[in-house]
Amino acid sequence: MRPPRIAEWVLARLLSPDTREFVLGDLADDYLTARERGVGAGRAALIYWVHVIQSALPSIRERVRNRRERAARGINRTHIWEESMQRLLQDLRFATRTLRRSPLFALVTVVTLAVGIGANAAIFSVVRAILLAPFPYNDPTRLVILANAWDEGSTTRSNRGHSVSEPELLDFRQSEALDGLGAYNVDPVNLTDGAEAVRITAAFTTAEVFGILGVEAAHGRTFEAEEDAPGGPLVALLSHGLWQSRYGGERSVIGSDIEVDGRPRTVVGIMPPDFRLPADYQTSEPVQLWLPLRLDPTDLSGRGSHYLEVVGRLRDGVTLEQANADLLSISTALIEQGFYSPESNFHSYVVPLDEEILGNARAAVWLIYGAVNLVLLIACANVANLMLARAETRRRELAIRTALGAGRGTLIRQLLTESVILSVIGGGVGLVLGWGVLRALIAVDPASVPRLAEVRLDGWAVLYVSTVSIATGLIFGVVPAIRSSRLDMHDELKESGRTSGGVRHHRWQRSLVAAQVALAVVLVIGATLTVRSFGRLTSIDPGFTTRNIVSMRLSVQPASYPDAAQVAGFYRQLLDRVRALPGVERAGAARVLPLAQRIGDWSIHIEGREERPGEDFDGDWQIATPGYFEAMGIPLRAGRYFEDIDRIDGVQVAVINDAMARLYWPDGALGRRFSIGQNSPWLEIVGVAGDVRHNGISGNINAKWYIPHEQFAASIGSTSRDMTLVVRAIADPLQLVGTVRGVVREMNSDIPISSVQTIEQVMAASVAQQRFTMSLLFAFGAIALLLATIGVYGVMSYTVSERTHELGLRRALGASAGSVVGMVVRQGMLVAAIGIGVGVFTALWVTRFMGTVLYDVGVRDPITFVGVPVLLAIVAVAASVVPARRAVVVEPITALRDGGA
Amino acid sequence: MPLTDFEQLVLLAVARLGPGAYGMVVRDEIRARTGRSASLAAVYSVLGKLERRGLVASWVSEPTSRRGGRATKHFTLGREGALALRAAQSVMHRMWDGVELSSYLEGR
Repeated sequence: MRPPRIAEWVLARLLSPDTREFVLGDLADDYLTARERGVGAGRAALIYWVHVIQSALPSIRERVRNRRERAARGINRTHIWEESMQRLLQDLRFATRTLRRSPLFALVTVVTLAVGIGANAAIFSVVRAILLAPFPYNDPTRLVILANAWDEGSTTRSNRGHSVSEPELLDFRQSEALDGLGAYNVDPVNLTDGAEAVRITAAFTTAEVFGILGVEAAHGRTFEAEEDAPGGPLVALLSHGLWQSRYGGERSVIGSDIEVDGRPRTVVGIMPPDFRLPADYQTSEPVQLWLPLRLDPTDLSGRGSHYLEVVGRLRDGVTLEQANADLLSISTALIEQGFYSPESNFHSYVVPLDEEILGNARAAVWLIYGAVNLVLLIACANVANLMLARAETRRRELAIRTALGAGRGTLIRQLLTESVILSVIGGGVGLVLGWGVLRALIAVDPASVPRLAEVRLDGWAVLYVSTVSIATGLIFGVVPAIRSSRLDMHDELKESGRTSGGVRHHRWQRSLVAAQVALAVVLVIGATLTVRSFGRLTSIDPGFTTRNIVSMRLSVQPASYPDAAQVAGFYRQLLDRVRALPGVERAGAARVLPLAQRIGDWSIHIEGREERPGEDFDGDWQIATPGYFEAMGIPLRAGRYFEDIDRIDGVQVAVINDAMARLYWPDGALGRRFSIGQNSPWLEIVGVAGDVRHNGISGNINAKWYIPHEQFAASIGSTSRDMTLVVRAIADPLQLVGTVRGVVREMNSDIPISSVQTIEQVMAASVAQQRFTMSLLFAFGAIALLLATIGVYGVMSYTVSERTHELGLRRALGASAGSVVGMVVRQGMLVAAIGIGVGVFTALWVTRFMGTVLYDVGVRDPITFVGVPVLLAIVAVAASVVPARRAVVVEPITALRDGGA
Repeated sequence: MPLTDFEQLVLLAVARLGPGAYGMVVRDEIRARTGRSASLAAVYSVLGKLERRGLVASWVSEPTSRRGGRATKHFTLGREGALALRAAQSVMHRMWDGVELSSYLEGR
């Protein structure tokens, strides 16, 4: 029989140590006695609990009294922490009460801070995931990408490409500076096992790639050397996603066969979920299947065929500069051996992996991060001003509190607590806001910036926001707090309610507004530059029309269509049937779609011209069907386009672009001939088409030749099975997709359709990163402008309301309404002018860092640097006129009476 | 320092119970005689104060299992305590001396 344990436990916590044992002992004895007398357990427990409650109250009272006594004696150091916590709680309670009394002020402050902190949190997460998080490879800082460069002035086109040819890969593998070079080529394939054929992105890789990246298969293994050799066993590696979606995550798929482009391949492994090739970071369709590249080291014929992406690892202790010096010596040796002309200044070099993947995105993201911090600073300035204005109206309250004995430290502490509470609430709301902003950014276009899809608002972001919130609260709170605490109690109380005029607090407010205007000028100038740059970029003529065209990729299987004639027949029939569909205006097909798929170059021989040593005639190679030029709206400069007569047995013809005509036949290209292989037939130029932007909207325009799809096999011996269908519709082209799919399915249900997109979507995707930068900077510029406007308006309203008495006096003494308005506006303009001046000078310095993200707009673009200050000045005038007019609509006598009360 | 009302009650209970009184019996004695229900913690708190003033003396007995392994603190009235009670009693007597309440109570 024991008393209730919980009751004992509770009581033990409440009692003071010197009586605890005896009280508990007495009660235990009493409980036992009651039970022995026949009292039930429940009733005895109830009696015990009554004792507990009775004893609790006096012991709590006594504890509090004791603590106060000890604190008064000031001897107990262990209670300092506890006391400061109590003081903090007291401050928090006080601040919450005070803020609850001015809900509008609290709301405006929280919203302003939430916008600033929320945007900051979102962009911080972007910076962390994109720029700071290491790539998921072993020691990624030592990974490099091999690239080639040719100089301008050589007879071949100027180039700076990241594709390498097979012989070049073998040459540069000799480098002592590199611990291996691996190569891969990304190309779509058809998965033809199972019920439904699908087209997926695959990569043909050398066996070294995985070792160099330092990544192992999650299940099974990666490729072995003999599998990567010509004639080796046909094997494949699956991505985690493909394994899950198509093969149900079954381990048994390892060792079994899948069918790729109609041929069986044995699955040897499954890669980890987060594994990606470096190239995957720049596309929205990452690789799902890896196949051995199986290069033939004895075949050195394809030196001019640049199609491999090459990744390497710096040997330990070797710097990037040393590696590049080594590669340069190999390049020089190749020139000396006559593989490249000396004028071409051909050389290979390596760039760090992260630099290659992130490219301009790095500068853009840092720029955006800088901008979002300016927004936060402006928000801080705004809130600081609100706090200052509020502190002015609270002078009497503070004076009374000082009179009642509150020290200066206490006042500062309490005012700072208020600002930190506001900023923490603002931070909390901002976190939610930032989460939304991030979701929206990713939803709009996850492929616009490399790794954007990986960005999450995680624990780091929460930690960041907490730090920023508290720092923000201290930054914007400290000036108003110090200023407000420094007041003359006597004067304040004597002034009996009239808000004190004078210049002392205005100086702070005006400085803050000027700073705000300056920051806004910097941001708006930056935003305007990117908007103008984007305008220039999107006004570039791509060389084709974009309206009402849809494209889709098709791939024809060798199993169903073994020879070139059958492939040609399929596409001819398909195009005939598509053109017959209602709503279709034009239809054609090409090997690679401009701005969507990269195009490469191919060496040519020009009839009647010998190449000098090191000279290389070439052009980007495109295969097109009749109707392609018309469907894309590519203008004809001379001659004709491809027609149905251009069959395999007819005259072999070609169409070239303007750039190629100018480069090789400046005095007329029609009727001239060239060939694309040693023993291949001459191709007669029958037409010259307008230039088309292909590998990027703002890049160079290269020489380019087009060959009819049906005739390509005559030159090369094989045909192009992969083609992109281009359909120009009378109205919305996406409505045709279903019927076109139907036509393809009717002809052969095994042919998968992929990459369905309108040409407008292709155009938009080609400037996605620039749009990302531009949209964000534009948004931040707009927020900055709005906050600065509110800032100017706020401080002018406040000044006017304070000077009501003085302005009334001036009017009473005969000043006209206009002259009073003018005086106030002039004052507002002075503040704005200082801000604008400082802002313009700062912007001149800051925009230097924007060079890499701007296209065809100077970093000191005069229109921007004149236009933005004018805009800010107009805004400042407008923000001052409104309060100034309010001052003069009041009757002078009312102003004198109210202002002097 | 004169005794408070409750201190007087506690001291009187200790005096009535004789040597060996402890918290619970003091509390019960007060309740039985006055109907006033004090909390045990308050009784001990007052006993502690009285002890510090030298009005009562105390000793601690061995812990027992009946008390959950806890000791008992016993109190006894000291000479100073007896003097204080006497002083309080004489104050009361002096105040009562000559007070006639019947005229107030009659007719009202």
